[in-house]
This record gives sequence, C-alpha cells and structure tokens, in this order.
Amino acid sequence: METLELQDTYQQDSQQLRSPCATTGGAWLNELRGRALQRFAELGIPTVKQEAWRFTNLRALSREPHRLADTGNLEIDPAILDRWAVDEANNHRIVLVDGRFRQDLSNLDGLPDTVRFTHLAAEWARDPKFVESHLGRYAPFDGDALTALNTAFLQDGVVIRIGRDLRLTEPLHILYLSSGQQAKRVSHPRTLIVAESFSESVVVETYLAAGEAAYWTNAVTELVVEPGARVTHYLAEFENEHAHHIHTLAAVLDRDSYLESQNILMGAALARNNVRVAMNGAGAEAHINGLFLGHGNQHLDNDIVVDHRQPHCSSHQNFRGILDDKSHGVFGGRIVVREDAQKTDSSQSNRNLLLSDDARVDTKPQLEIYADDVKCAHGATTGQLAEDALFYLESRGVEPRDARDILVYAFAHEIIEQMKLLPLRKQLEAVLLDRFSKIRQLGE
Amino acid sequence: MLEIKNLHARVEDKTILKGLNLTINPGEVHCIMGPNGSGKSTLSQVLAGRESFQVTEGEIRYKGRDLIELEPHERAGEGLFLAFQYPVEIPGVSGMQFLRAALNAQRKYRGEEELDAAQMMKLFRAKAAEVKIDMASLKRSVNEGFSGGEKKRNEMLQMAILEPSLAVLDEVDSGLDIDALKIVSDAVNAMRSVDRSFLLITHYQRLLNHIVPDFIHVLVNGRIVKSGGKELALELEEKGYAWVEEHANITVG
Repeated sequence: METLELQDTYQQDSQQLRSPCATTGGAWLNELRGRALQRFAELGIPTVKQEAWRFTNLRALSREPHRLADTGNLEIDPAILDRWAVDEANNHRIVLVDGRFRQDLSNLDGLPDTVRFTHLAAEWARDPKFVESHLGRYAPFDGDALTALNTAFLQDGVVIRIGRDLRLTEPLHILYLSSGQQAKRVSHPRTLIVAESFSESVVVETYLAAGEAAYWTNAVTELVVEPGARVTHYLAEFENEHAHHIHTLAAVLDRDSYLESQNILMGAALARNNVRVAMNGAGAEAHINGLFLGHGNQHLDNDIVVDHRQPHCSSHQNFRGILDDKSHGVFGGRIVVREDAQKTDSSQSNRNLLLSDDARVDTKPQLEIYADDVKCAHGATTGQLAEDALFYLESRGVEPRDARDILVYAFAHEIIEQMKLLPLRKQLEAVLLDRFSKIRQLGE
Repeated sequence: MLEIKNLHARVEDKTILKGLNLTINPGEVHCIMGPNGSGKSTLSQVLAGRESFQVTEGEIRYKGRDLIELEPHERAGEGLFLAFQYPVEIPGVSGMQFLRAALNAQRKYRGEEELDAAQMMKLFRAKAAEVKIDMASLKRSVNEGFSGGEKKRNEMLQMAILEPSLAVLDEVDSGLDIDALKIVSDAVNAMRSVDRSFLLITHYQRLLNHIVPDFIHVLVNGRIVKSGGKELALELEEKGYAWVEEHANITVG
C-alpha cells in the first residue's frame, strides 16, 4: 500500500511538471520522462536486499513520498553562497535553488564564446539539437531506480559545453542549494557537461542548504569527455545533517581523454555517491579520489564502478574515510575489465580511520576481469590511530587531544593535497578544523 | 636533575626493572650498558611515560618533581627528551609541522609566547647549524622512507631544536655506519653544557669512542650491578657482559 501511494504521488507530481521545452516542441523529452517514470515504478526505491545497497538503507525515502521542493523565489542571503566560492576573482557560478535556476544569484558572464555555461531551459531554447543529442545519453536508468526518478523529473538543470581546443583554467561553479525550509521535499538536480575534443576544464558541484529541514537531493550529472579532452570534476557535498543526498556522476571517456574526479562527502544524514566511469576509448585515463568525513550518526557511502571497455586505459581510485562517533562509512568499488580491454592498468585503494568504538566502515572491492593482459591492484585497510605515532607526538610535548587531531589531518591530507583548487582545499580544511581543532597551528 | 630510587617496572605481567637506582646531576653524561633484555629500553620508555610500562615500586624525581605523575607531554614541557630507538613514521605530517607543533606546545606549557612561522624558521636554521645537521629532511613527512641513519639524525635535529635539559638517547648508535655515527655523536657533543644532562643507553661500547661519558653503569636483569668511570667501558669490551653477569649473580645471590 505504501508503495502504491509512493508511485501515485511521483506519477502525479511528474505529470504536473511544466516542461522546459514546452514552447519548442520536445516530444522526445516528454517521452524520455515517461519511460523513466515507468521504469522507476517497476524498480522502486532500492532496498538492502539488493547487493549494491546492502549497507545503505533508504527506508526513510520509501516510507513516504517526498513532494517536489518548491519555494518560489525564496530570498537567499548571498553570503551562504559566497562562503563556498571556489574562485573569488572570476566567480563563474550558476545557482539553482531547489532545482530551479536563479538568475539573480548566478554569474554567467565573462566567459569565452566557446563556453556554454547556462541552465537547461535556456540552452534548450538556444540549441535544442545539442541538448537532445546529449541529455539522457550517458546516465542509463534501466538498472538504476534513482536515476530513473531523476530523469522522470527532468525540468531544469545545468548545461556546460566546453568548446573544442579551449583551455579554460577558471573553474565553473555549480551551486545546488536546498532551501531546507520544509521536511519531506525533494529536488532532482540534473547537470550535463560536454567537454569537446582537446578542451581542458574544471567543474565544481557544491551541494548545500539554507535551512535545517530533512530534505532529499537526488542528483544526476552526465559528463562526456571527448577525444583528448581533460576534465577535473569536484563533488563537494556539504548538505545539512538531516538531508538525504544521492548523487550519480555518469562519465563517459572517449579516446585519450582524462578525467579527475574528486569527491568530498561531509554533510547529510545519509549520502550515497555513485561514480560511474565508462572507459569508452583507448588510452583514456581516470583518477577517482574521495574523502568522506563522518561524525554523529552520519551514513556516507561511495559506490564506484569503472568499466574498462577499450584497451590501454588506466583508472585509479583512492578513497579515504574518517569516521567518528556513531557514523557509518561504506566504500564499494567495482572494476570491470572487458575482454577487449587489454593492457588495462587499474588500481583501487580504500583506507579508513575509525575514531570511536561505535564508528563503522564496510568496504567491498570487486574485480571482474575478462581480459588476460591487465594490471589490477586493490587494497583496503581500516584501523585506528597508531598508538606509537600518538606517543611519539606526546613525547615531544604535544597534548594528547592535539596529537590525535594532527594524525587525523595527516590521514586526510593525502587526498586533500591532490585537490589543486586551493579555495576548495581551504573549505575542506576549515571543516576539518571545525571538527579537529589543532590543525590550525600546523600551517602549510 | 634526575633521581631514580628503587625503581620497579613491568610490561604486562612481566617485571623488567627490579630496584634500579640512578642519580644524574646537571651537566653530566651517563651511559647505561647492558645485554639484551636487561631492561635498558624499558627504562627509557618509563622515563618518557609510555602507558604500557607500569611503575610498581620506587620513585623518580626530575628537577625535584615526581616524574611519574606527569603525562608524557608534560614531561617534554619540563625539558625531558627521548630519542627513540625506533623513530616513528608519520605520513602526511612534515618534519617542519611536527616541530612547530611540538615547540609551541612546549612553550605554551612553560607559559612562554608561541613563535610564528618566521621565528620558527630562524630558530630551526640556527639550531641545525649548531649541530651541523642538514634541515632538508624537515620538508619530508616525519621519518617516512628515511634510512636508519636519517632517522637517528632527525632525532638529533629534533633534540637540538627542542633544547631539553635531560636527553635520554635510546640506542641512538644502533644500525649506523661510521659516518652517521660520527654525525650523531658530534651533535650530542655540540649540545653538551653545564646545565644539560644526557643518559645514553647502548648495547655497544663503540659509541663511547665518540661520546665520552662521565659515568658508566651496567644494567643486568633490571638492576644496575656495576658503576664506574669511562674506563669501565674498556673493561666490559675486554671481558664481555658475562663477566658482570657473573658478578651480578654473586652480589645478588
């Protein structure tokens, strides 16, 4: 009965959505949404009985439906956004509040002509063919209920197109802000990034909230990296600690392309970060790194799948978790090497630090290798702070509490130092600082 | 400076120190020698305050205070330094960060003003020059990937910068080649002064060719069984530990 009510609500809400392309045709989009809704109805919210969700329980989402968050033109204090700025000088940012584009908070000017950095409805009006040829092509929803639901609610979102050969060093910043004014509300952010051949770009997605209510963010980002292009993508999840946050990055890498995916999970009551990388062209290279920092009762889950479909590709995953109090971390990393993907060079590492007896981590590496000439290394460790390192610091005069903080910082640092975007690193260090007080004195 | 009376200590259920007595005055260099398992390292760990080493009897007075009551970081703040036999690797923390945290923590403990990064750097340079040890290692993570010799040199650099009043050097000579041994010994000799004391703990007489102690003690089975001047080292070298062990059995028995 509950399931019925859930489906009915989503069906109703989805059908009432206005289409971003209502004025210019776009039957394909309505058709896509319809199919996605149908698929969601068949799949339902995932349960712990499914292997991929064994450690992450979404019962709060399946228990009752979440209505679409819609707070109209809620007044937002820009300071909330400025705090997370990643490039104060240029500040190319697009802001969506509860999934709706906000011109008044965004800054889309000052970019080269060969960059599109806009919201979905605007891009649809300008270049419907472009949107149609990419949107929905990289994030399949047949086996993924939540991507199906996101697609069923496709309404607005962000479109980024980096023109051929363009080297854009200034980061493009997407801020998805949840109003957080009402509980049981959901938004379905959708981002499409097309990096054309030999372009270079940096894109940051920041998720945050203005209020303290228990909302749900169900985001999907599609990313295609065309031949020879290079993309650095950051996910900075700073949701409020009552929220559910689901994010799926579906990336397709073409020949000789390069992706660096940096993932930070810090907020939310429950966060699930799906990274799906398809190595679709020979010679592609992917680095997928993450830091998840849990305290209180937080549940932070990273689920990574790298699919090697072509030869001579390399992929490297490096995730670190730091879990305090009663928090629960999950790392699932799957590497698939198909028959044709000879000379694959792949590695995966997950190291976790438990700071309390009640904290917990589940880590499960999975290798599926169908080619015979490949290199696949993986390793996972979970431990507590090294007693001898603590004593070493204390024997030099450092107080026990500070010694602990220093070691935690050191553990996180290996991931943080790979993030080349300094303002983001500073934000991260500020959060660490907030939780582990001693770090301030370490300096660079 | 340091006064140890009738010290008994154990690790888990095993009693290792069984009534050790030792007095070190300001400016003196003492050396404790002894065979494996005699309790040398236990003594250094007890002095530094490692939790797993329990004092069951006796007392340790340091600068007139009860040392046993102090936490490890407080002992450091009071000027006690232990050079580790096996210095610990700390990936992700540079030597510079480590020393800044340590020095400022000690200064804070003593009620002195903390130093900023520039003042620190100046101090580090001056101290490194005094003991003639290259500072390059401070840019790397503490002890990570260091050779045995580099680790021991790094301990000496830390000692020079932290300027303790009592330095306990636990097998600072083990695993060193002649060049490294010379660098380490020169650093110790450069730091000798009338108000700084040293306690060298070693297995080998070789170290004493480079650092000449004022007193030598032989530790056997948890007690000091023989004390003397620097000439005792030569006697030990000649006759071996078996000689004192026999001697110990006679006195104990």
